[in-house]
Amino acid sequence: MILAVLVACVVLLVIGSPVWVFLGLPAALGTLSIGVPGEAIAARAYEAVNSDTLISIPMFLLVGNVLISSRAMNDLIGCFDSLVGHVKGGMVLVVVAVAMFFGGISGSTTSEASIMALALAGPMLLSGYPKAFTAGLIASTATVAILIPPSIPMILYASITGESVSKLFIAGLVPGVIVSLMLGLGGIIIARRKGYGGSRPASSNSERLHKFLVALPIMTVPAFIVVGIYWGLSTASEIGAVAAVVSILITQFVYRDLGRKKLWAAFVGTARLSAAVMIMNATAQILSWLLAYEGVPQAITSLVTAAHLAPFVFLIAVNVLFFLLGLPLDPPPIMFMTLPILFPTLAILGIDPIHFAVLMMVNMTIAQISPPAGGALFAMATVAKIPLKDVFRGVIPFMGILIIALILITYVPALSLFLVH
Amino acid sequence: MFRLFERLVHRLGHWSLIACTVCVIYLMVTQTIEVVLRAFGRPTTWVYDINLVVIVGVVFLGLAGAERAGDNVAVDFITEKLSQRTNRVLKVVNSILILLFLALLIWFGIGVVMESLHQGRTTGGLFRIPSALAQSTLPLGATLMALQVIVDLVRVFRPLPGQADGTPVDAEGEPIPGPQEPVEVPLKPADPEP
Repeated sequence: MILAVLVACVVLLVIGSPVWVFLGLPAALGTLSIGVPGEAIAARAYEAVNSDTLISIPMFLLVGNVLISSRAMNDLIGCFDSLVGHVKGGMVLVVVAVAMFFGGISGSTTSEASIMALALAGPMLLSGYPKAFTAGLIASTATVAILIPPSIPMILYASITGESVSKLFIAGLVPGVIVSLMLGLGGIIIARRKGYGGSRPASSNSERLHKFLVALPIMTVPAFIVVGIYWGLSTASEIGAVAAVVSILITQFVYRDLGRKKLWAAFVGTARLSAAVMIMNATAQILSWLLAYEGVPQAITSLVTAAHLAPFVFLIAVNVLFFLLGLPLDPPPIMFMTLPILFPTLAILGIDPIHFAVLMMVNMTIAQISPPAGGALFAMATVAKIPLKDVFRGVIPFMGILIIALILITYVPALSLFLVH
Repeated sequence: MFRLFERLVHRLGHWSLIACTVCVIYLMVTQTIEVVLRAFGRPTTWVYDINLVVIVGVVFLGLAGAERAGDNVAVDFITEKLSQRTNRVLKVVNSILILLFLALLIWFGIGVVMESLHQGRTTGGLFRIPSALAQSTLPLGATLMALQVIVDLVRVFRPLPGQADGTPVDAEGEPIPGPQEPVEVPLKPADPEP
C-alpha cells in the first residue's frame, strides 16, 4: 500500500498538482484504506500547524516583504556600489553582500533568484558585465542565501525534525558566509581576468559616507537577527517579530517611503505566502504519519544498519538523492518528502542532524541552479530577460565552486557545528 | 448567476484573507510585547497559549487568498512543455483532485470539531481555549478554498476576457498581482538619494 501511495505522490507531482496536494491526498486515501478513522487526517493536519516553531515563518516573511517593499534594497545596493562598484569585478561583491543581507526570506529559492534578479541584473548589465556572467552570479548567490538566517527552509527543517531553529540558524551562518565568499572570490577572479565592469569613476569619500549612513538603519535588521539568535536573547519567532517591528519602524520613520497602502499590501502578501508555505507542512504531516505507521523509517534504518553503510557513503547517497530531487523542486517539498524517512537513520550512523541540515541546504542550492531543470535558472531568465542558454552557460563556473563547497561542508562538520557547540 | 456566485466567493475569500492578515499582525505585536515585558521581568501567561491558536488561523484562513493569487507552489517544469489543450485537461484533473482532498479535510475536520465540542476539550497551558475554536478554521478555510477552486474550474470553460493567455484575473477581469505577473527589470542603477 505504501508503495502505491508514493507512486501516486510522484504521479501527482508530474501532472502539476500543488505540492500540498501531492504530499497529502495520496497519504489521506492511504490512511483511509488501512481502516484508520478519517478524523486522524484532519487531526494530523491541524496538529502540524499548531506549533510555536511555525510562528517564525510569517514573522521572517514579513521582515522580507516590508524591506523589499521599501527602498531598503536600493539603498543597500547603492552603499556597496559606492564602496566597490567602480573596480573591476566590484559589482560581484555588491551582489554577494546584498544576497547575504536579503537571502532566505521567502522560503523559495526561485523567489529569491527573482527578487535578486529584479534588483541587481539591471545595474550589473549597465556596469558592463555580460548577461551570462550576471545570470550565473545572481542565481548562485541568491540561492545560497537560504543558509544564512533568517532562512525559511531552516525553520521548516526544525518543524519537521524538532531541532532548534536557533541552532539551525547559527549552524547555517558560517557555511553561508564561507560559500558566499567563495562565490564572490570566484566571480572576482573571472571578472578581472576577462575585464568585466569597472568602467566608471569611483565615488568620493563623502558620497560613500552618505550612502553608508543612509543604508545603516537597514543593515541593523539582519545584524539584530543574527546577534539576537546567537546570544540566545529570545526564541527565533520572537526575534522575527521584533525584527518585523523594527523593519516597519525604519521604513516608516527613517526612510518614510512605505505608505499605509504599501504596508498593508506587505502584511496581506505575508499572510498569503505564510498560508501557502505552512499548508505544505500541514498535509505533509499526513504522509509522515502514514510512513511512520507503516514502519517505513524503521525499515530504511534496518536496511542501512544491515548494509553496514559508512556515514560518508550514506552522505554521498543522500547528496545524490537531494540533488536529483532539487532539480525540479524547491527545498520545502523535498524536506517534507525525505526527512520523515531519512531522519531516524542519522542517529544510527552518528550523523549530527544540524550538520545534515546544512549540507542538505547547500545540495539543494546546487540543484536549483543546475541546467537544464534548476528552478532558479528559469526565474532568472524570466525576470532578468536573459536568454536561457546564457543563463545555463553563466552558471557553470559557480556550480563548480558550490560543488567544492558542498564537499567541504559534507566532510568537515566542524564548519557547521563549531558555533553551535 | 455565476458572476454573482463568483463575486460572493471572492468577497468571502477577501474577508478570510483579512482575518488571516489580522492574525499575522496580532502575532507580531504580541510576540514583541512578550519580549519587552520579559525584559522587565514580567512575562505574560497568555501570549504563548493564544498564539498557538492564532497561527492555525494564519494557515487555514489564508488558503483561499493564496489559491486565488496563485501562491500555492506546484511543479510545472513538465506541464509547461505540454500543449495548451493538455494543460487545460490537467487543470481540470488537478482541480478535481484538490476538491476531493478539500472534501476530506472539510468532512473529517468537522468531525474533529464536533468531537472536541462533545468532549469539551480545551487547549493546554494556563489560558484554556476551546480546541474547537482553532480546529474550526480548518473546515472553514478548506470550504472557502474549495469555493475558489470551483470558480477557477468554471473559468477554465468560461474564461473572462484577457484570461486566454493564462493570466489570473479577478471577477472584473483585472489581472491579480502574484508570482506569475511578468516583471520588468529596471535597466538603471540603484535610485539616487532623494
